[in-house]
Amino acid sequence: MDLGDFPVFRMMKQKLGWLNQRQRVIAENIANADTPNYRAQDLKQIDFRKLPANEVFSSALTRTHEGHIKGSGIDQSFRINRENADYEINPSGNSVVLEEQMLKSTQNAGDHQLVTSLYRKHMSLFRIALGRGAGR
Amino acid sequence: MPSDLKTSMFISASGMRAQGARLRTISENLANANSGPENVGDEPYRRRVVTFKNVFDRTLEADLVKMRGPFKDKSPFRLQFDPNHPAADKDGYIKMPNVNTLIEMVDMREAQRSYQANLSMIDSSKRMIQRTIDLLR
Repeated sequence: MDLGDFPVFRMMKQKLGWLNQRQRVIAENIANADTPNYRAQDLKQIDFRKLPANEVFSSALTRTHEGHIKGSGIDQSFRINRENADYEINPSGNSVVLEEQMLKSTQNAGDHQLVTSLYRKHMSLFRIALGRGAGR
Repeated sequence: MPSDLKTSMFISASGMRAQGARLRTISENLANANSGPENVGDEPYRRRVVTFKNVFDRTLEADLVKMRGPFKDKSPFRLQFDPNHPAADKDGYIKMPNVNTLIEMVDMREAQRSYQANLSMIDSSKRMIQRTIDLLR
Protein backbone atom coordinates (compact mmCIF):
# COMPACT_ATOMS: atom_id res chain seq x y z
CA MET A 1 0.00 0.00 0.00
CA ASP A 2 1.44 3.26 -1.06
CA LEU A 3 0.02 6.15 0.89
CA GLY A 4 0.92 8.41 -1.99
CA ASP A 5 -1.91 6.80 -3.92
CA PHE A 6 -4.41 8.52 -1.69
CA PRO A 7 -5.03 12.09 -2.77
CA VAL A 8 -5.41 13.24 0.84
CA PHE A 9 -2.03 11.91 1.83
CA ARG A 10 -0.42 13.31 -1.26
CA MET A 11 -1.87 16.71 -0.52
CA MET A 12 -0.73 16.55 3.08
CA LYS A 13 2.75 15.61 1.99
CA GLN A 14 2.89 18.55 -0.35
CA LYS A 15 1.52 20.88 2.26
CA LEU A 16 4.07 19.71 4.83
CA GLY A 17 6.87 20.26 2.35
CA TRP A 18 5.51 23.70 1.64
CA LEU A 19 5.20 24.55 5.34
CA ASN A 20 8.76 23.38 6.02
CA GLN A 21 10.11 25.51 3.24
CA ARG A 22 8.04 28.48 4.34
CA GLN A 23 9.41 28.17 7.87
CA ARG A 24 12.86 28.42 6.39
CA VAL A 25 12.01 31.51 4.36
CA ILE A 26 10.51 33.22 7.44
CA ALA A 27 13.56 32.29 9.52
CA GLU A 28 15.72 33.88 6.85
CA ASN A 29 13.62 37.05 6.93
CA ILE A 30 13.85 37.33 10.69
CA ALA A 31 17.57 36.61 10.78
CA ASN A 32 18.02 39.41 8.25
CA ALA A 33 15.80 41.87 10.09
CA ASP A 34 18.70 44.35 10.29
CA THR A 35 20.62 43.55 7.10
CA PRO A 36 20.84 46.55 4.78
CA ASN A 37 19.09 46.22 1.41
CA TYR A 38 17.40 42.94 2.35
CA ARG A 39 13.87 42.45 1.03
CA ALA A 40 11.41 40.18 2.81
CA GLN A 41 10.44 37.04 0.92
CA ASP A 42 7.56 34.64 1.05
CA LEU A 43 6.39 31.49 -0.68
CA LYS A 44 3.62 31.37 -3.21
CA GLN A 45 0.49 29.82 -1.74
CA ILE A 46 -0.28 26.28 -2.79
CA ASP A 47 -3.58 26.06 -4.60
CA PHE A 48 -4.78 22.49 -4.72
CA ARG A 49 -7.73 23.43 -6.89
CA LYS A 50 -5.41 24.50 -9.65
CA LEU A 51 -3.67 21.14 -9.67
CA PRO A 52 -5.34 18.30 -11.53
CA ALA A 53 -6.63 15.64 -9.16
CA ASN A 54 -4.02 13.01 -9.79
CA GLU A 55 -1.07 15.14 -10.65
CA VAL A 56 1.83 15.57 -8.29
CA PHE A 57 3.99 18.66 -8.04
CA SER A 58 6.90 16.70 -9.35
CA SER A 59 9.03 17.40 -12.34
CA ALA A 60 10.13 13.78 -12.68
CA LEU A 61 12.04 12.92 -15.81
CA THR A 62 10.51 10.58 -18.35
CA ARG A 63 12.52 7.47 -19.07
CA THR A 64 12.86 7.06 -22.77
CA HIS A 65 15.71 4.57 -22.64
CA GLU A 66 16.46 1.60 -20.45
CA GLY A 67 19.80 3.05 -19.47
CA HIS A 68 18.15 6.10 -17.91
CA ILE A 69 18.07 6.39 -14.16
CA LYS A 70 14.70 7.09 -12.67
CA GLY A 71 14.58 10.50 -11.00
CA SER A 72 13.48 10.50 -7.40
CA GLY A 73 9.92 11.43 -6.52
CA ILE A 74 8.61 14.80 -5.60
CA ASP A 75 10.44 17.97 -6.31
CA GLN A 76 9.94 19.89 -3.13
CA SER A 77 10.90 23.34 -4.07
CA PHE A 78 8.13 25.85 -4.30
CA ARG A 79 8.52 29.22 -5.82
CA ILE A 80 9.87 32.00 -3.64
CA ASN A 81 8.34 35.40 -4.18
CA ARG A 82 9.77 38.71 -3.26
CA GLU A 83 7.07 40.47 -1.35
CA ASN A 84 5.77 43.44 -3.25
CA ALA A 85 3.19 44.63 -0.74
CA ASP A 86 5.72 45.82 1.81
CA TYR A 87 4.48 47.58 4.89
CA GLU A 88 7.49 49.81 4.95
CA ILE A 89 11.07 50.04 3.85
CA ASN A 90 13.45 51.62 6.30
CA PRO A 91 16.26 53.98 5.27
CA SER A 92 18.81 51.16 4.98
CA GLY A 93 16.66 49.47 2.32
CA ASN A 94 15.40 46.70 4.59
CA SER A 95 11.76 45.73 4.31
CA VAL A 96 11.42 43.15 7.10
CA VAL A 97 8.72 43.98 9.63
CA LEU A 98 9.26 41.78 12.65
CA GLU A 99 5.62 41.79 13.74
CA GLU A 100 4.48 40.66 10.31
CA GLN A 101 7.04 37.87 10.25
CA MET A 102 6.14 36.69 13.74
CA LEU A 103 2.50 36.56 12.71
CA LYS A 104 3.42 34.49 9.68
CA SER A 105 5.49 32.09 11.73
CA THR A 106 2.58 31.59 14.13
CA GLN A 107 0.27 30.92 11.20
CA ASN A 108 2.79 28.50 9.80
CA ALA A 109 3.09 26.62 13.09
CA GLY A 110 -0.72 26.44 13.35
CA ASP A 111 -1.07 25.07 9.84
CA HIS A 112 1.64 22.55 10.56
CA GLN A 113 -0.24 21.33 13.61
CA LEU A 114 -3.41 21.10 11.54
CA VAL A 115 -1.77 18.96 8.87
CA THR A 116 -0.04 16.63 11.33
CA SER A 117 -3.31 16.13 13.26
CA LEU A 118 -5.13 15.43 10.01
CA TYR A 119 -2.48 12.90 9.12
CA ARG A 120 -2.89 11.18 12.43
CA LYS A 121 -6.68 11.12 12.12
CA HIS A 122 -6.49 9.52 8.70
CA MET A 123 -4.03 6.92 9.92
CA SER A 124 -6.39 6.06 12.75
CA LEU A 125 -9.14 5.57 10.16
CA PHE A 126 -6.95 2.91 8.58
CA ARG A 127 -6.40 1.38 11.96
CA ILE A 128 -10.13 1.18 12.51
CA ALA A 129 -10.53 -0.50 9.12
CA LEU A 130 -7.87 -3.02 10.10
CA GLY A 131 -9.76 -3.74 13.29
CA ARG A 132 -7.08 -2.65 15.70
CA GLY A 133 -9.06 -0.69 18.20
CA ALA A 134 -10.84 2.55 17.57
CA GLY A 135 -7.60 4.25 16.69
CA ARG A 136 -7.22 5.82 20.10
CA MET B 1 21.58 18.57 2.98
CA PRO B 2 19.66 18.84 6.25
CA SER B 3 15.90 19.33 6.13
CA ASP B 4 14.37 22.76 5.73
CA LEU B 5 13.33 22.91 9.36
CA LYS B 6 16.81 22.17 10.57
CA THR B 7 18.25 24.67 8.13
CA SER B 8 15.87 27.31 9.42
CA MET B 9 17.22 26.71 12.91
CA PHE B 10 20.75 27.27 11.65
CA ILE B 11 19.69 30.44 9.87
CA SER B 12 18.07 31.79 13.06
CA ALA B 13 21.18 30.86 15.02
CA SER B 14 23.36 32.79 12.60
CA GLY B 15 21.07 35.79 13.08
CA MET B 16 21.46 35.48 16.83
CA ARG B 17 25.23 35.29 16.57
CA ALA B 18 25.28 38.44 14.43
CA GLN B 19 23.07 40.31 16.89
CA GLY B 20 25.25 39.17 19.77
CA ALA B 21 28.35 40.52 18.06
CA ARG B 22 26.51 43.78 17.48
CA LEU B 23 25.59 43.97 21.13
CA ARG B 24 29.26 43.54 22.01
CA THR B 25 30.24 46.50 19.84
CA ILE B 26 27.47 48.59 21.37
CA SER B 27 28.66 47.89 24.88
CA GLU B 28 32.19 48.75 23.79
CA ASN B 29 30.92 52.12 22.56
CA LEU B 30 28.94 52.75 25.72
CA ALA B 31 31.83 51.83 28.00
CA ASN B 32 34.12 54.20 26.13
CA ALA B 33 31.64 57.06 25.86
CA ASN B 34 33.97 59.26 27.91
CA SER B 35 37.39 57.92 26.95
CA GLY B 36 39.12 61.17 26.06
CA PRO B 37 42.62 61.79 24.72
CA GLU B 38 45.70 61.64 26.93
CA ASN B 39 48.00 64.20 25.37
CA VAL B 40 47.65 67.17 23.09
CA GLY B 41 47.04 66.05 19.51
CA ASP B 42 45.83 62.59 20.53
CA GLU B 43 42.49 61.28 19.33
CA PRO B 44 39.83 60.08 21.73
CA TYR B 45 37.92 56.79 21.34
CA ARG B 46 36.23 56.52 17.95
CA ARG B 47 32.77 54.97 17.79
CA ARG B 48 32.60 51.57 16.07
CA VAL B 49 29.75 50.38 13.89
CA VAL B 50 28.87 46.97 12.50
CA THR B 51 26.71 46.02 9.52
CA PHE B 52 25.28 42.72 8.44
CA LYS B 53 25.42 40.91 5.16
CA ASN B 54 24.19 37.69 3.60
CA VAL B 55 26.71 34.92 3.02
CA PHE B 56 25.84 31.73 1.18
CA ASP B 57 26.81 28.65 3.14
CA ARG B 58 27.62 25.73 0.87
CA THR B 59 27.14 22.92 3.35
CA LEU B 60 23.71 24.17 4.44
CA GLU B 61 22.79 25.55 1.02
CA ALA B 62 21.34 28.57 2.71
CA ASP B 63 22.00 32.27 3.14
CA LEU B 64 23.38 32.94 6.60
CA VAL B 65 23.83 36.30 8.28
CA LYS B 66 27.39 37.41 8.91
CA MET B 67 28.62 40.46 10.71
CA ARG B 68 30.80 42.91 8.81
CA GLY B 69 33.17 45.18 10.60
CA PRO B 70 33.49 46.67 13.13
CA PHE B 71 34.15 49.80 11.10
CA LYS B 72 35.13 53.16 12.51
CA ASP B 73 32.50 55.86 12.60
CA LYS B 74 33.91 58.80 10.62
CA SER B 75 31.73 61.49 12.16
CA PRO B 76 33.53 64.43 13.87
CA PHE B 77 34.39 64.35 17.56
CA ARG B 78 32.51 66.22 20.19
CA LEU B 79 34.39 69.31 21.48
CA GLN B 80 34.35 70.05 25.15
CA PHE B 81 35.62 73.16 26.85
CA ASP B 82 38.03 72.12 29.61
CA PRO B 83 41.16 74.33 29.74
CA ASN B 84 42.69 72.45 32.67
CA HIS B 85 42.72 69.10 30.90
CA PRO B 86 46.24 67.96 29.88
CA ALA B 87 45.04 67.31 26.32
CA ALA B 88 43.35 70.70 25.87
CA ASP B 89 44.37 72.70 22.79
CA LYS B 90 45.39 76.35 22.91
CA ASP B 91 41.74 77.52 22.96
CA GLY B 92 41.00 75.23 25.91
CA TYR B 93 38.99 72.55 24.05
CA ILE B 94 39.44 68.77 24.18
CA LYS B 95 38.09 66.25 21.71
CA MET B 96 35.64 63.77 23.18
CA PRO B 97 34.44 60.50 21.58
CA ASN B 98 31.71 60.69 18.92
CA VAL B 99 29.50 58.33 20.89
CA ASN B 100 25.89 59.35 21.45
CA THR B 101 24.61 57.34 24.40
CA LEU B 102 21.00 57.70 23.29
CA ILE B 103 21.70 56.23 19.85
CA GLU B 104 23.60 53.35 21.42
CA MET B 105 20.70 52.58 23.74
CA VAL B 106 18.23 52.54 20.86
CA ASP B 107 20.58 50.31 18.87
CA MET B 108 20.82 47.98 21.84
CA ARG B 109 17.04 47.70 22.05
CA GLU B 110 16.83 46.86 18.38
CA ALA B 111 19.49 44.16 18.70
CA GLN B 112 17.66 42.76 21.71
CA ARG B 113 14.34 42.57 19.87
CA SER B 114 15.85 40.88 16.83
CA TYR B 115 17.63 38.41 19.06
CA GLN B 116 14.34 37.58 20.75
CA ALA B 117 12.57 37.14 17.42
CA ASN B 118 15.24 34.72 16.24
CA LEU B 119 14.99 32.80 19.47
CA SER B 120 11.24 32.33 19.17
CA MET B 121 11.75 31.25 15.55
CA ILE B 122 14.10 28.49 16.73
CA ASP B 123 11.49 27.49 19.26
CA SER B 124 8.78 27.32 16.62
CA SER B 125 10.95 25.26 14.24
CA LYS B 126 11.83 22.92 17.06
CA ARG B 127 8.18 22.36 17.86
CA MET B 128 7.42 21.65 14.20
CA ILE B 129 10.17 19.04 14.08
CA GLN B 130 8.86 17.50 17.28
CA ARG B 131 5.35 17.33 15.90
CA THR B 132 6.54 15.69 12.72
CA ILE B 133 8.42 13.08 14.71
CA ASP B 134 5.31 12.52 16.82
CA LEU B 135 3.56 11.26 13.70
CA LEU B 136 5.45 8.03 14.28
CA ARG B 137 3.73 7.41 17.57
